Amino acid sequence: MRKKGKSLIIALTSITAMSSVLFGCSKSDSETGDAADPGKSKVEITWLVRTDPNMVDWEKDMISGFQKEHSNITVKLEQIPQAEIDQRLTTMISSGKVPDVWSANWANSGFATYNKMGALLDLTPYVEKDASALAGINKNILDIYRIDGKIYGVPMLAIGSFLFYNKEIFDKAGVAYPPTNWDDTSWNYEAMRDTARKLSSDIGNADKQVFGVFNSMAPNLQAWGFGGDFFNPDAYTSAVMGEPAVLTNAANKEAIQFNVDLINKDKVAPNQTTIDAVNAIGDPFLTGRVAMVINGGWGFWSYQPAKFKWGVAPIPYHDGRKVPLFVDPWNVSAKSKHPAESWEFIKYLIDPKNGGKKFMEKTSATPADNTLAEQWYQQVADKTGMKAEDIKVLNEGAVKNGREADNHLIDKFSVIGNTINQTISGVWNGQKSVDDGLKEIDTNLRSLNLK
Amino acid sequence: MNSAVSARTQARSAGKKKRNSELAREERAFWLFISPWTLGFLLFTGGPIIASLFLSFADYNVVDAPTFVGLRNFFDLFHDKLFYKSLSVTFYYAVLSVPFTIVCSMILALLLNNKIKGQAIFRTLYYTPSIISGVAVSFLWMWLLNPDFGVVNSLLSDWFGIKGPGWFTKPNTVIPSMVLMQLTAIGGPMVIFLASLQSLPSDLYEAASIDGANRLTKFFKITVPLISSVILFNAIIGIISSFQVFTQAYVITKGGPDWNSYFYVLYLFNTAFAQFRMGYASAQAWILFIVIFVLTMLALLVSKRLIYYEYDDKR
Repeated sequence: MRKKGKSLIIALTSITAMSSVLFGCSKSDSETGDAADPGKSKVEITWLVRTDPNMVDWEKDMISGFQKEHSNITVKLEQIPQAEIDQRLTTMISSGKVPDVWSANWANSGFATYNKMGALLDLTPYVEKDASALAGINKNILDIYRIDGKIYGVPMLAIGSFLFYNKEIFDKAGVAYPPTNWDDTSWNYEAMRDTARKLSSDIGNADKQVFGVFNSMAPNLQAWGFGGDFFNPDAYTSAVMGEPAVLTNAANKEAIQFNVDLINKDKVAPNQTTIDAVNAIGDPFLTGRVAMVINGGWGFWSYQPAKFKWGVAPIPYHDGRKVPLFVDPWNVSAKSKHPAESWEFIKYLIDPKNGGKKFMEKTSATPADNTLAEQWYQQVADKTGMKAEDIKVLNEGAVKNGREADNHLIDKFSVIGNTINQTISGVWNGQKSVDDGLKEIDTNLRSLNLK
Repeated sequence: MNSAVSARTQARSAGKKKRNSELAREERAFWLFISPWTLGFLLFTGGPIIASLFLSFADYNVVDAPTFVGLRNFFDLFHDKLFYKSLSVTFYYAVLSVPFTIVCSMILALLLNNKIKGQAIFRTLYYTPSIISGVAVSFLWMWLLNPDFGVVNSLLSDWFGIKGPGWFTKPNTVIPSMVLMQLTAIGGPMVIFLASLQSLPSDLYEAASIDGANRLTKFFKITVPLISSVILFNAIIGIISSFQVFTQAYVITKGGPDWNSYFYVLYLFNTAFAQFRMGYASAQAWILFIVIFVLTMLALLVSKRLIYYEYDDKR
């Protein structure tokens, strides 16, 4: 009995162990199989979106409007939280029950990962057939998802990167606001450092300290700002990371060293620990803990609840400066059973007179379609109290100096990004020298073996 | 189990025939009661487990069909720096966490074992945190252990004038912080200890009192030996759950800083759902299974001499 009982316990515990490892935190899927209508030409397509309570109205509106126009097509909405999309798509793709219309960038992995996998449909024939529907989209933006001459995604938004600043802290310190023109070379990193020095106060007192500047960009994107790059140009076109250029590109060290100096030498920027701590009580810019923040253009709407007046400026000038553009596409699954109907739905979603316009009004996201640009400048101006003219100058400069973000173009970037971040926090905290940190990043990226 | 076993000991004195029918009935009851779990297991878990065994010898990226690669996944794994890093992080955590959990839950169980008013309420109170979702608990601890604004560090500086540590944000304190998080997860082992404490025979304690034993002596000479099998059970469960830590690392630290909380299962998850290398991830899962299995066996072997089972069959 003793033996039996014990081995049973082992068997049970080990089996339980196994099963929970393999199926970590599996959510019970209440799959309500496709209720295929007996009607002949009746078609159902699935539309996968990120769970976002703010967007539900727009989504429902799109579906009902589209179904009115196309009585034979039913659109099934599937909402999944962003952190779970990768996991769920894996099971969907392997079982062949793919969503028809979705955005690869709304998963943590991003466009390149899914395209490399072969999960996305080549939309070129549709784009050529319906060229007029995409006429308003800036050609450079449209080309971002043109891989080897084939278009795999239709841009819905194109967000630049900027420096946001808290006007009240500037006024209190009696410092002049930064310019709005991206070509103004006097607004360089040194100028930003001097400004940050004047804006910092109470450093070291966790409850009161205000840091002059915080660069929230990932290390590689910071390097872009100095004309550097952690990767070779091929990586962005072939989607394969290949040989990292962490050590070969001298501007990388300059960029990382500059930020380390801001943190540890000038003490005008927060280190990783401080940022982690502050993030728990809210956005560091919104809570007034940093006077300037370098961030993606979503600041235009995510900073609207601020209790103070704020402005927007270019990211400081440097030779070879490039800043990230964040362009989200609509995609169709390669295994979609109804590609033509899915394409019709995408056209409806991006229509600058209807779906695209409503999307912009709802999200404030910078539209990819130029026909909506003027309205967007005005919309943002109304909400922020800035001049529409300034916003136009700022945004055009961000696009002109911009290139598509690394995480959308390089396969398996969530792994690459995590590998870089693991080491960089020690560099920001001053526990590792910049040289050692970069060497370590280079070694660790190589050991990922992404060729 | 116990009643079944004692029933069986009584049955021994009865005729063989009767004993057999008793046994058969017991067995039927066993299968009947276990059937929901067995069926569920066979349908939803057994199949995937077998599939993962096959996949561990293959390359599988979800879109294309799996291709057989023999033992390559396992060879790659043994040359993988992160594999060793994540294993060592996990071992380190287990070594700290298992004793910590057992000691804390045992102390709580002993306290709750006193016949005081409202004992049931306390029992419930202490057990409640264990049933809260791991994500919520992780956020709670992020708040408690926030280096600048957390409750713990605020109290440290207000009451003792000590500048608290960086907890989750520093390489050397991140794992101890994770171990500390077990304080909200000790309800399970605590209840098991409590059940075993409440079934202890009082005559032994009375005899010891007559011999003039004090409370500590009683605890170490009577209680510990008597519940040694339960301690072992909790230790094994503790080892297993230490090797399955995922949520807190995924939510709080993402495996950082500098890989210092890159738990094995987090690595497995990233292999599967960020790199889409299902074959490699399956190999990792099977290695984990072997590790847990071996550790469990070791725990049983080591404890063979130390454990006292009340109802040993003396066949």
